[in-house]
Amino acid sequence: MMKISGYSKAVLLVVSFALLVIQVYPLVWVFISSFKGPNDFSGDNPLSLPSQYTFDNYFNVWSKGNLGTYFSNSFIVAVTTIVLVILFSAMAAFVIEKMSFKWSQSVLFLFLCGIMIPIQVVLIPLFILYNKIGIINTLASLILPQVGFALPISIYLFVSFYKYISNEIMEAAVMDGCGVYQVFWRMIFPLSRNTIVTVVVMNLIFVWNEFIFANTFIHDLKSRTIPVGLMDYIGQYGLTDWGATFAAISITTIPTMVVYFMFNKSVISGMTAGATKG
Amino acid sequence: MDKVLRNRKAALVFLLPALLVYLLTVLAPILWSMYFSFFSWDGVSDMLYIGFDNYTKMFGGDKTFWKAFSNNLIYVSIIVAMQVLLGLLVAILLTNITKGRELFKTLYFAPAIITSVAIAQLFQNVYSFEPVGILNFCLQQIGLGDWSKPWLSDLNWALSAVSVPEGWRYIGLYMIILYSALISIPADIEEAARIDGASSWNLFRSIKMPLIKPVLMVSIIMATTGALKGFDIPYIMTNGGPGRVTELLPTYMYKTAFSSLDFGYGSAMAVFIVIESLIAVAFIRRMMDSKET
Repeated sequence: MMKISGYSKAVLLVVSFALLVIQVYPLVWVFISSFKGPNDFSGDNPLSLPSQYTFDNYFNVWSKGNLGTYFSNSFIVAVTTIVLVILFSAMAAFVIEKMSFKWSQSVLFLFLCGIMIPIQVVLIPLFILYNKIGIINTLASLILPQVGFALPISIYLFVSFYKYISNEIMEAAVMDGCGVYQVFWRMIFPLSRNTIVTVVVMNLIFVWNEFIFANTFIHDLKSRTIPVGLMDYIGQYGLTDWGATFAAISITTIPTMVVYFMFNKSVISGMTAGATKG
Repeated sequence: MDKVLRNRKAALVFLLPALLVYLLTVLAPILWSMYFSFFSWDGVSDMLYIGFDNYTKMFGGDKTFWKAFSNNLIYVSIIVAMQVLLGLLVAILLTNITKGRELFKTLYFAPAIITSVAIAQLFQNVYSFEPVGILNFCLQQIGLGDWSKPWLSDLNWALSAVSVPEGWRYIGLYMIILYSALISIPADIEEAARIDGASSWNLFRSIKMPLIKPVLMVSIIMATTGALKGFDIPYIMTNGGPGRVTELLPTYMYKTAFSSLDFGYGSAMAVFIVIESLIAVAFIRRMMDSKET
């Protein structure tokens, strides 16, 4: 690697550290501020520590708001979406890569086109369709399009993994009398554990954070998910209850943070793959 | 073996669920959008076929459309500059750090995993004027108190102010993409250049840059198409205002469809956003290729 020594090295370290602060400190600040009382927010030093640490904000958002409902809705949407994405994309990728048929490359191409599609273009048709078939305001209206939009990159990840599975081991299984379903379920699917983890954690973060579909298809409090629910604490005249907002952000970000720090390699590799496969 | 894998029925069973959901929620709606764009329709009364009227209105008379379009160009430029330039800078810094590289990467990437609603609210607070927010407070502390202003309602600054959070949150993503490209450069190429007396800057400009160019191009394309569909943060922070100074095509399209209930015109704009992204990709590829020769 490029070796730089002495003076320039010190400058470099300072710059790196400053950039790190700009990137990370705001998140820490949200967390610290969630313990502030109302007086601390009207003060003239936003960077000050809470004058008195209080759990009032947490107590308020949990007992007065609908955060519990939002949590369970987000949880249902995330789990259902992810299970469907894993099953559908692992199976489809298996057909495309291992059961090569005449159009397998065209089918793969068709799926990969989806990576380029901006979500906005489907909003109007889906809104109209959902209204017609009566699933507007239901969690299904969030699950379906999120499965659809997650498939391209998930299929891509599975296909790239299956390329490394040699045909010989599949042949051995077939010799032992396995049918195609057994080859997939007993052998290929369990072998792809790492890809499954990547697809799960990447989609967990995307689905947990999804805003546009939730804001468009859900108007009923009962079916609201967390991202839209975070805007509950904006009162009349646009005044925000910052203590409650920051407490709600802190609580609802914990699941993604835990997943991220446990599986950060998978999260990062999944999200960069999503970004680079243009 | 071939016989087992050539099982048509199994192939269908495996492929159909994915294909159906994908067709129903991604591909078919695109075609519907194109179809709707030739109608005047409020979702309730009868659809009225009006040919290309939505498009002529869009390109001809609609000032807001062009305002949103030019705002979008500025929004995209700020975001791409932040994500790719700062991402590259941090990636270079990272190759020079020996200890704690993994921790640095992990922390740096953290904003990318937080919902855009939270990011928007965080920055609303950063930009706040009364009570004083982080940005204005910092300006005051370093003696630039005169510069402090309500960033989100300032006509000259609001657009930059809504662009920065979107740029900021994904710097880590591009840093990691570019970092992987930088460390994949074989060490002997670098050593050879060093022995020939190349300075750090020359080494970077003449050897590393050309080698990471393909990755750099992909990064620029992704940052551009990502920013072209940017919606959440501007929509939440300012909803296009004050006036139309932070109106972007996606926010304008969204309001046209879901507030004014003009589904036909909204669809025409949605179609334009797709075409615009495709043109941007083709244009960037062209530009990067021609630079090479």
